[in-house]
Amino acid sequence: MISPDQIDKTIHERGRLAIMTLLASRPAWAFQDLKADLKMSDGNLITHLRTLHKAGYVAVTKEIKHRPQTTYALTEAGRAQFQKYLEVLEQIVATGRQPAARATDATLAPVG
Amino acid sequence: MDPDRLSPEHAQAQLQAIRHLMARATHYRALSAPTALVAGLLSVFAAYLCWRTAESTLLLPPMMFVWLWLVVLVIVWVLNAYFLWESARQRREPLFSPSFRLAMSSFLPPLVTGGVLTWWVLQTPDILAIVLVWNVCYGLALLGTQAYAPRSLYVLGWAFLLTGLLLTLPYALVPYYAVWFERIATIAMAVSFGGYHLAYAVIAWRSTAELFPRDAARSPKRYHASSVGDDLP
Repeated sequence: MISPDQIDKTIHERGRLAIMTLLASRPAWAFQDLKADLKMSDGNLITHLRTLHKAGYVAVTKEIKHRPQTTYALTEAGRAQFQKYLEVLEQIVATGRQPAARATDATLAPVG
Repeated sequence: MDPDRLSPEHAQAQLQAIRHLMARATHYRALSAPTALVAGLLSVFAAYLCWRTAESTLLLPPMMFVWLWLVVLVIVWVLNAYFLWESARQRREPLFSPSFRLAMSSFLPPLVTGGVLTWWVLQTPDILAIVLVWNVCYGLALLGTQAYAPRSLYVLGWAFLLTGLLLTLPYALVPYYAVWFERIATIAMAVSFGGYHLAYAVIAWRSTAELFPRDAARSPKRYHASSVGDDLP
């Protein structure tokens, strides 16, 4: 049985999950690229990045090449937590494929 | 989405959305740096052979030209397939990964078009037109991968496309097929398929090292500043 506690709520939020997914796909992302890809407002994106940074999942680098640029990357902890999150999702899917388990697993049943 | 209500169907949908987003965002280098290096060197050599042949025969036989470059193409494709397979093996992914299939779906239409147009152009002994078609179609094939390819491949695509378009100039300047068109064709092959690939190989090798800053992955503390506010834009 998979308990809801196993789901990392920091990652699970839709916006932050999208950010974590993009960060997992490349070594580093510039703020502007993240914004363009996710079509989020500056404020929304900054808020989510702050939350992820505070949780220790996202590393921030400020550089001045031709102009100041802020890039974001997953930390080792962030990558591990994201991996764990995916594994939990896969477990939930696997549980759903077992009819007996599905019937008895009250925590996974859709509510409402 | 409330974690307490996460059903298997929701989890499945969530996983699919993640896979889709990752496949879209992952940089996929369909042309590896070692392949580009070999392609560049072989192309310069093939162009040299064409130049020498044209010197001795005055007119370069179009079929010989096409066969020579077909051999180069086959060698490069086999090598690229090997390097991609090796790279996929290291990432513990199958060769025919979603990214590979996506790259092929972008690559194939312009390449098939190039093949058919080559056959069509071969009806006339116009080597410059063949080179024009190859540059334009290869450039378009590379540009087709721009959504998920690194910037260097995108630049390479534009370089080939612009070279191909520039090759229309001789036709605009001279109303007949001049012998020196073949010289331009040979030089264009050496510069584009030779020179551009060599330049790309160098850039790809350098950027691979820059794109994977080991410090960022292994020493998060260095990047994970304690003051959250100061690090955000």
